[in-house]
Amino acid sequence: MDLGPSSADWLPGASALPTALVRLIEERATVHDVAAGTVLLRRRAVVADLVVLVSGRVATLADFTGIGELIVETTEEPGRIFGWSGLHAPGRATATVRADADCQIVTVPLAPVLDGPPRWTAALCAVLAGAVADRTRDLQMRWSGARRGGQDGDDA
Amino acid sequence: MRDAPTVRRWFAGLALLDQLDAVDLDMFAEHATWVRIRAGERLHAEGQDGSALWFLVEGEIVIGPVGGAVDGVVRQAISTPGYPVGWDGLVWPQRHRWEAVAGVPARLLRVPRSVIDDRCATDATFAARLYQLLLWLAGGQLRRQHTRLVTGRYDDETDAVADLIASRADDLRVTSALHRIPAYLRSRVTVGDAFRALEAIRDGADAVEAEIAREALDVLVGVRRELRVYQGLQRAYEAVAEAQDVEPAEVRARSCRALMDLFAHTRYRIVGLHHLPRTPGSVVLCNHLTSHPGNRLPNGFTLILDTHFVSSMILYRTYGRAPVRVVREAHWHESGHARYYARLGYVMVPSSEVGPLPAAERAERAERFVKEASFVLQQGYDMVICPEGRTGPTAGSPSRLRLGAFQLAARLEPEPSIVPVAVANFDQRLSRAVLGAVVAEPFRLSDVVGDPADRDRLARFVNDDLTPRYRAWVREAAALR
Repeated sequence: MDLGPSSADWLPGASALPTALVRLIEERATVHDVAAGTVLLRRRAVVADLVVLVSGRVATLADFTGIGELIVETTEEPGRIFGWSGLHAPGRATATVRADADCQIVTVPLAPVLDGPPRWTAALCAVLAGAVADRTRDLQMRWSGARRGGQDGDDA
Repeated sequence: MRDAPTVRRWFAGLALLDQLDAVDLDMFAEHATWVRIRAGERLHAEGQDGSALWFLVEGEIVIGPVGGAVDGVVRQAISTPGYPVGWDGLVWPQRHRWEAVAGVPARLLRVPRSVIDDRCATDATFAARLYQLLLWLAGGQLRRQHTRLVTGRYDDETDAVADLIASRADDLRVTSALHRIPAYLRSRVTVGDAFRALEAIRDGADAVEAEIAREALDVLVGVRRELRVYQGLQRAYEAVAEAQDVEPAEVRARSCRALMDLFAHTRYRIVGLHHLPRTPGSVVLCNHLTSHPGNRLPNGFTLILDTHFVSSMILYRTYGRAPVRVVREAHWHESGHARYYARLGYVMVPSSEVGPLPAAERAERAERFVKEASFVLQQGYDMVICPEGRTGPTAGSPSRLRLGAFQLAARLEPEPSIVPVAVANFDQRLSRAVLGAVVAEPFRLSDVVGDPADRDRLARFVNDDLTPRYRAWVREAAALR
């Protein structure tokens, strides 16, 4: 794949990974252009690949009994990673992830990582846990920003 | 430490750490030291390098960004024994995202990071187990955040709790009593049983189940209506944002219909509809209220509902023609805002973000505004304007009516009717408020101001006459039941 000059710089935290793992990720990563509406991960399905957003917009949907799936988060941030639950038991997606607009994504198969040295799993989990924590914090900030109110209205 | 066997047994009994081996837990027990902190005392600060992993033994730790109250969404209180605190400082890039403060006096066991790092360096399989556990914790926190963001808006206890339990189903034993809770909640007859079962599980020995039960009890607030309201908001947004190759008038009409569906799930009262002119083509004024955060969509866009209410439930329902609104241009970071309004054919005015415009540009924009507004009215559409330009609470609304809307009306030929509409309670949760609207008697500026082109006389009318009356209409709207 060819997304840039440096090693897996589309993957936040790649600099903290072992060199051999970065090399593997670069070799196995595949770039995809996906159309709006494409389901990237289906809730409860086995996760085979990490999905990294390069461009476009991705929505995360949670299922609400009797109502159906509702969008609980959207992001346009390049480098957002989905499919992290494939790295720990039971290896299934905890939410449905869908392209909300035409997107470019990178997929990285997880099997070679999990089958590799344990320190690869440890390093990737440490990086992804940090990314997930940042994502949680972003959501909290968005929520608390929304509560402040009194900003410009839309209408004039 | 003196009571190492006790600590070892305590660690061994933590279901939360099931993914670790006994030897890992023994290592924690061997190196753990007791930490006691007083209420309000900080365990670690936001931005601080991670120095340890703490395990809560008793008490309560509040985790979240600095400052603010515990709201269960941004700042959360943790009281589950065994919960690992400070894990966010151990994962990339080894700095805490949040501060951790004791909500009440708390006792914890502290394992230094140096011990953990040393063990990781010598035993890669331990490192893999540990960081898989931390990733699982991070994922659980994100899932809880999603659930809380939603249940924070919705009061449907059945759906919220069912979802909470379903989202953690993989962590539960097949025989867990939690699986029965959604069924209990679905029948009014067994709701009491659900509460009793949840309380028993919360006080039971299984830490994972106890944590879920505690959360379920926290979120048990009735909100089916709010779920539907949120779904309506999403549909109203998508009716516009996803419209392709459709004329703006049709997009506005679809939007109004989606909004009428949305407001059907709310309680509302409208008085004074008989004041509306026989045909559209008026300047319709609306006071502007701060939107409740529950109306915010996941893309950060907030549907401002007061003007949508006036557009759909008053004007579209009366005339069958969707009005045109005057809206500010999107801020640079508001992609949802831009996508939404770009399709509606609204009259756009500069956002306050761009600052004062140069005189020539200001004059050019004013001329364009008058031209576009005239065209809208001549086409027989109402034009909805919020003269305040900013949102505020119902109490004291409108704050200050700026003159632009009135100066516009004074320049239009033929002179349009001005219809004031006062709205109230749109700053509250949609599911709980009674949304109120009062349509006041229309007027023409030339009937109330000797020379509408005279800025001082116009300002006196707006500030001294119209504004106090407008506030009285808003109070009347707020009192509607």
